[in-house]
Amino acid sequence: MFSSVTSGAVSGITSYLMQVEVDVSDGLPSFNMVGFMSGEVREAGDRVRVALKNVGSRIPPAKITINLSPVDIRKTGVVIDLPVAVGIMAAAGEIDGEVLKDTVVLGELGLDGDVKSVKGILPIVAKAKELGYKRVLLPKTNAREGAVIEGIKIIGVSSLQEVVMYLTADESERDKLIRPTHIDVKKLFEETKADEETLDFADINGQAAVKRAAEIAAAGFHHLLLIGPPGAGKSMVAKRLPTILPPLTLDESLEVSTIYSVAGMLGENEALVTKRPFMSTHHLVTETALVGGGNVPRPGVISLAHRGVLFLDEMPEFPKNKLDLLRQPLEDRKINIVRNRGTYTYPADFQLVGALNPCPCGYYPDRNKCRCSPNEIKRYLGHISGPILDRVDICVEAPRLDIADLSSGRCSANETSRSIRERVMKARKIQQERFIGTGLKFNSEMSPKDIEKYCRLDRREETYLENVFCKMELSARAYHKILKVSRTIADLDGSEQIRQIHLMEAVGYRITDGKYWRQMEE
Amino acid sequence: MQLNENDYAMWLYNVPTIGNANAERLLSGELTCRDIYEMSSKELSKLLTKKQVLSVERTRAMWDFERERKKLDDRGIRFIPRIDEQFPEKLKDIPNAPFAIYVKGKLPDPKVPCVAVIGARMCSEYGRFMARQFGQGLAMSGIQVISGMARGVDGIAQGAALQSGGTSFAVLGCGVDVCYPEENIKIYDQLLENGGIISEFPPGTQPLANFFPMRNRIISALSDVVLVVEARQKSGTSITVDTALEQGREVMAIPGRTTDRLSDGCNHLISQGAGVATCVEDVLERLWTITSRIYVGNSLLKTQGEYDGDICREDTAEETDAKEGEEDKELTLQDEILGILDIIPVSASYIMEELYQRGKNITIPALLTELMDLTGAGKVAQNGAYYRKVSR
Repeated sequence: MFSSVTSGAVSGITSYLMQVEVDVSDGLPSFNMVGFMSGEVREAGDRVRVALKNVGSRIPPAKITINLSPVDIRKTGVVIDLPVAVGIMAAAGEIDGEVLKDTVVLGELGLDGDVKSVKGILPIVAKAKELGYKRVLLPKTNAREGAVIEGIKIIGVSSLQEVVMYLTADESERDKLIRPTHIDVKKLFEETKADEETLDFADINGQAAVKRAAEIAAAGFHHLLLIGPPGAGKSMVAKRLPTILPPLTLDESLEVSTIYSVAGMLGENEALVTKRPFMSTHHLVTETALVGGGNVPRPGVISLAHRGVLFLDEMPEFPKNKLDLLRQPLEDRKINIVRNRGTYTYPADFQLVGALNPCPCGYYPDRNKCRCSPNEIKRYLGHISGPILDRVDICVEAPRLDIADLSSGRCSANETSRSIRERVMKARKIQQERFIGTGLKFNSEMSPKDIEKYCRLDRREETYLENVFCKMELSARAYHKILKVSRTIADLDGSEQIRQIHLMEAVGYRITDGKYWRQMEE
Repeated sequence: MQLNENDYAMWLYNVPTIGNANAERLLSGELTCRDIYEMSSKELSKLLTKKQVLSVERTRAMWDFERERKKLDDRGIRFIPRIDEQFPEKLKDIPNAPFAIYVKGKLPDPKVPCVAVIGARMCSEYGRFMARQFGQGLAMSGIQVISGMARGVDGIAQGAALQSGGTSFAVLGCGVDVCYPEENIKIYDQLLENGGIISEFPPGTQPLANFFPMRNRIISALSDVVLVVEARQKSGTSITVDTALEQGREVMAIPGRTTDRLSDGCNHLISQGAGVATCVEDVLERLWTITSRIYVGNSLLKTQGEYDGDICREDTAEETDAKEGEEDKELTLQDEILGILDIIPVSASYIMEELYQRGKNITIPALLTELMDLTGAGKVAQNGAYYRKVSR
């Protein structure tokens, strides 16, 4: 007897459906699996045999052949336990094959017949719906994740017995046996979104200039570099950046959730990622963990930070080759990973926040503590390559904290994330309207040509910038960065024209950059 | 080519195994450098070890007087041995006096007093400020500023002295044709015009760590007063101070805050009895008491009047100006900011807080803009996140 069960797997961030074909025919009893699969996928056979035995279903003593189609895709890291088990039972006649035609089956099996969760549910279910399947049988723990896709019946099962029960029941009885999981995505999204943020900019005392820089960075999607001594609050600011970015939209949330689903990082019963991701990594991260890849391809940290913030602490400690891996994603907003088995593409549209100490000991320019020589400092900062620096629009120094900043009896109250976010969202809206139909979204994405178009200066402003340009011996690139940042500052100000005050502030951020990377004063 | 004693001295100075002490011993009798050059090996071996005789013979065979002299002439370098009458008097009677020096540019005028302005290479903003003030003040009083052209205090003081039209001399720990550190090339060039560069190391010598303590003794020897601007407790500056005391030179120090590690050296020196230099006049006064003994009827008296940039006095003048203005109209925001700023750099957060204390509430973008405006006007200097007032 022959049967065919549909299952699915992910490749990169996309998914494909595959047919698990089972044939049970007369001959010497044997169990063969074919279909271009790697070793760990083949192990499914053993698990299925034991699991079937343990739930009391007998494997027929016959020649069993299992084929995974299409055979031109190599299956690595694919879990096909449940579909194989269902396929064998169907081929043996225990289950009616008809019901399997419009069903996708996903899940791992324990030896006792328990159904365990698998990765990548979200993209597979989305694919199943796209191809017109009616229902998906999947592990109960993944049910909410799958239910995010509307218009397809999600059946969460916890054991093999349940599966058999469900599939052998009458069509009308089935939904009563196991209620299809259903969630109202919009409602859920709104609910979880409204959850209180645990972090807030109001937690940070002092560092007014850094907070302002973060606000501008958030408004214009500018990459940000924070320089300062240990304990100045660089990480604090970086961690709170997502709280002033606009909340995720539903589309963005689905995108992010898909990546987390593929990475297996959606928690049990968690349906969607609703908060802007914040990923932080240190310099010991491997290249694969950073950009993705591996034997069983998996998104890296930069993809997990998609639509959110990627925070690199102690940036000069990162080996140069690792930092340089960020160049392509910073440019293309996605990463292509080429392996001999195929090319995988993961989205990686993140906002980069780098933090670094100004010198190896960390305390420069406080010469009471720092005794690093100019050459040492130069070498230390030189670890960050020019191409990466080029992509950072705003560079700001977090000064050491004075006691007055920390004491609670301060006068001016700290602004909350909520009110900063309001300004950021207003500035984003202005950008959206300005860039309608251009394919651009943010000021930071403007090319020199766009800058010419959208950052037109008045006479007075132009003279001012020319003066600065000569005085500071700026490069053309620095010039463009100043214009991009001042465009964002003007947007935050609600001003259509870039005024001198906007330019002045933007120039201020360039000075820090120049201080550390162009000339050392001492 | 007519060979003179200087040529022979240069040859002797460049014999590898013969140093200052040996040269002095050889010349202490009736012998001249020429005599030594013309001695036979037999005679030499009475005075020198076997190894030294060998190297004398070897260099004698290789030495081309004409070429060596031309080499120096081409680069505008003079070789001045102790036997030369141009050799600075002050360098003669010190312990371990150099046998000879190379000079590019001029030598200090023996009739004009000299002050060495020295201090930490990695100095604070306070050190920079003081180095500038004293370099400028001393130069404007007609005093020759001596230092090591190093990073930090040395270079800043010399740069300021030259900028205000004074003369300055650098003593290097490398050849006089080597600019170390490279970033001071501007000062190096200016020194050649309005001063000179001195070294006891032959041209082309690259700087080595152990050369610097040696050149320090020349810095102190050339000066009448050694002024320490900013120094840590244990530092290269203390070597110069030690040699200065050994040579009987006056030592003065600029006091600093006791919490500043970079002022520890100065404060310690003061507690040990060094002169306190709070303004240029303090140094001039001290100089006057010493120099009246030495420089009778020198130019000091004449030039002293020209300089009136007493930093203490100037500041008070500014304050009264501000007070007068207050009566007339409210202080502008920029004045308030300038009032808060000092030469010790502070962050924008700090300024904002201080303004708030004074009843001025200002947003950070507005403050940053004001600061940028002041920076543009040259009243404030920005260094990353830190701001400080620019003097004068």
